[in-house]
Amino acid sequence: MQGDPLLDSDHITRYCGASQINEDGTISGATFRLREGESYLSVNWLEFLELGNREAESSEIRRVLSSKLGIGTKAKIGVLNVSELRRYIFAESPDGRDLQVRHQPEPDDPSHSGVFNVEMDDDLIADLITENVRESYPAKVQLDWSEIRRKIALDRHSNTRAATK
Amino acid sequence: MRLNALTQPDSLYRGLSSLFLDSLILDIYKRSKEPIAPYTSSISTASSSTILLCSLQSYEIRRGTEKRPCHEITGVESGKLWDRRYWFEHSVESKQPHLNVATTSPSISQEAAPPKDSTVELISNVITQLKVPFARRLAKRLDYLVEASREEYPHQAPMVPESLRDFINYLQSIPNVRYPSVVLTTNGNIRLEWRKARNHHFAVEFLGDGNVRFVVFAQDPKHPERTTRVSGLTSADSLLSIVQPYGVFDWVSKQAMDVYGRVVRTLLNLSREENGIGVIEQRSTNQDIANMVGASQEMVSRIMKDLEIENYIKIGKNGVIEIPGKLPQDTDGPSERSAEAPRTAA
Repeated sequence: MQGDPLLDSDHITRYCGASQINEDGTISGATFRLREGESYLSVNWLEFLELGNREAESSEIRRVLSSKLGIGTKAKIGVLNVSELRRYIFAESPDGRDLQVRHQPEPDDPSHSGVFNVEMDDDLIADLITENVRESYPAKVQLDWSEIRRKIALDRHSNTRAATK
Repeated sequence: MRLNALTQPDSLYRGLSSLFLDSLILDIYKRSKEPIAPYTSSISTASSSTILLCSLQSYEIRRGTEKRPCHEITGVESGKLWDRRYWFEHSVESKQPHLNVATTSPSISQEAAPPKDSTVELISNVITQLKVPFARRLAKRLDYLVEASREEYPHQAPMVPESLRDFINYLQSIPNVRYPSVVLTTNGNIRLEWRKARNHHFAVEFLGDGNVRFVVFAQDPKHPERTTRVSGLTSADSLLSIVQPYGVFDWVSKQAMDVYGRVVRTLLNLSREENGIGVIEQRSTNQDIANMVGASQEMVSRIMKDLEIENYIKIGKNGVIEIPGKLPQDTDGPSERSAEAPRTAA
């Protein structure tokens, strides 16, 4: 429901634009700064999707994001744990910032949620949040054309064999 | 053309060839006799001068009821990009061109905006102008960021040229720095980051108006187990003095990192493997290591303390040093952070 806080054990994802990814593939603090028009950090709530595994979850997040944003070829989806994030920021930020993570569903994005209490140009908090990224996945599936060609060839081969039988 | 009248003691022209100056001023003079309309042009010199480009933009300024031609000049000189603006107007009495150098924009109304350097031009200047060993690599990275930004945000300018220009100027002002991690903020500003560990983090965003926003995570000198975190907004030229007390340049500067690498290599050379961990049994003081690597004892002490706090080494009471895993690599490249992550949070 709108405004419900997420559980400590839950996980959230944030879209990390390709121009906000460091050369070594790590996610920079620029990712966790409010974008123009944002009053909170837009994230997605993974457990809400009830898909059971990270691969299916990231695939669904990719689908949702691609309907809303222009996805960069080398963009990523960063995953954070709610409890780790909140505790770390509370303990390490100079002002003991108490971040709130709440469900903010949208019609075309029901798992949409928000990280609240982040202010505009809050570089220090953004850099601290970055330290909590547990894992990351490509935001755009890279097509393996050689694999696709191999599958098409196999498919044709089996069709031909079925026809000759 | 009387050059003396056109220049001031701390002139922008210092170091420029007279050949270039002549052609520049002739150009201005010629154009100022023509009806004034905003325009831009470029002048280049074939002499051994270091000038690569100079753009002019003309417009009119109002002096009371009178309108006078005014020119703004942006140039690129080898080793530094100069973009201080100055204006140029006819002397009413002599009808001769007279140049006034303005380090700040003149407080008079102007009918055209000052010239802006294009992103592409500035990126190409990184290679030709920036005296840093990683200029080519940096230019490549900037090109990539422009492309990535165009792909993701096609309806906005990929990179703010003013931010890029401030960034280039800043790098020129701090020689011997390590290659920084460069990204773009979502509004197209350049953001740099130097990071060695959780308590060695320095990030700077160039806002394009001469100001920067910065973040420092640094080891508390009196309580090394604690991390000091500060952020703020300041002018780019004040940044160095503001972050200096946090020892930022101990890990940002190439020279310091060279010592860091030499200490790490010395420790590895002195160690022998015992049950999967490196051990240095021979008691070596920080002064001994400093002598071996050719650095000051203070610098080595600081590095050894860093390594100990980040759990790369353990120093026993008997002076035996244990190296439980890999030591951090001293690289000047993108793999720097991934080379070996610190084992524990600061």
